[in-house]
Amino acid sequence: MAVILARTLILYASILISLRLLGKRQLGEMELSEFVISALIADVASIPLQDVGIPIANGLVPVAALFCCEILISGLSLKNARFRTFLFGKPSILIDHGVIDEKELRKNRFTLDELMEELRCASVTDLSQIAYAILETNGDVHLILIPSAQTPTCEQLGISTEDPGLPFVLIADGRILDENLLRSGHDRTWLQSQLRSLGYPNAKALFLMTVDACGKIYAQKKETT
Amino acid sequence: MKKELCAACILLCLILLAAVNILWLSRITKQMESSVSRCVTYSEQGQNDLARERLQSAFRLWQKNSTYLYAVLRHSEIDTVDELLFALKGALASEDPREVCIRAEELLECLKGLREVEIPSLGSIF
Repeated sequence: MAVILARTLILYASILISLRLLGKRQLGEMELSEFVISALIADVASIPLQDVGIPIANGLVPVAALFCCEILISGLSLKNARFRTFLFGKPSILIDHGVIDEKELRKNRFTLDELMEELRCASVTDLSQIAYAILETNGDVHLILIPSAQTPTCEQLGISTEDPGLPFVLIADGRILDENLLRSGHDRTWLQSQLRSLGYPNAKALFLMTVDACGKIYAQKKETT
Repeated sequence: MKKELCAACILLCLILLAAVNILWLSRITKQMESSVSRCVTYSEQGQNDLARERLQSAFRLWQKNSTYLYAVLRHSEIDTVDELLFALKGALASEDPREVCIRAEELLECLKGLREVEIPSLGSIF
């Protein structure tokens, strides 16, 4: 039991560190090599986890080797464009000004149904509104609409807007986050006065409280359990 | 660039470690093989005390490196060698040179296999 627990903790830590250092949190954001490495790392590490008779080094050595390979390959692909294209491919234009490129669809093994699904996911039903549909190297389809179909910006509409900046979480689950309070340019005295004006006796009564650069406050009361 | 250099260094260290592991394992198994072969020779000459002494030294060597061996070899392989060592010990106790020879052959084959399986070759890789 203790052996399995120790193995689990060691392998878990090694996978966690490896995947964290790869710098990606979502599977959809991964490039091909990253996906392969992630799948392999998880698979390789589980072998000594399941069988106590296999040395733990049989799991740790491949994890370390795969991690090093990924770092080297990603470093090389950053420096060399040709290598990057060779490894990750190039983005493909599936729709060019409303016209579906059948050749590109076939080349990328992308069916018409899949393309239509992607368009529906992006709430686009009219193909003539699409300037470009680009299949990225990580498998995502990005749509660029023709100017007349794009959502107008405040600038285009001539509306002046205030930049609310990054909202700072001041209270999380009843706890005051002093670091964020300081970064937002306020102090505990200011916070207490705001709490009083909002009708809360203290920070413990709040589940969440944020403030943005314009001074706009959002507060949510804590549920009573 | 620092990250890539570190990765290259780690990879190099892993390769070096693998090479050291092959050398170290070869050294242990060859010493064991030598002890077992001499044990058989003494047994055939009827010098059973000397044969037992040689086997004991093989036992000691195997036990001394057990931590390292458990870290790099499949535990079932270590158990097999243990069993074969005890079988050879039993054969020596019976003072039957033919039985000693058979058990020693099995042990020598097993030790040779342990060494060869660690050496990268087309056969061991594929």
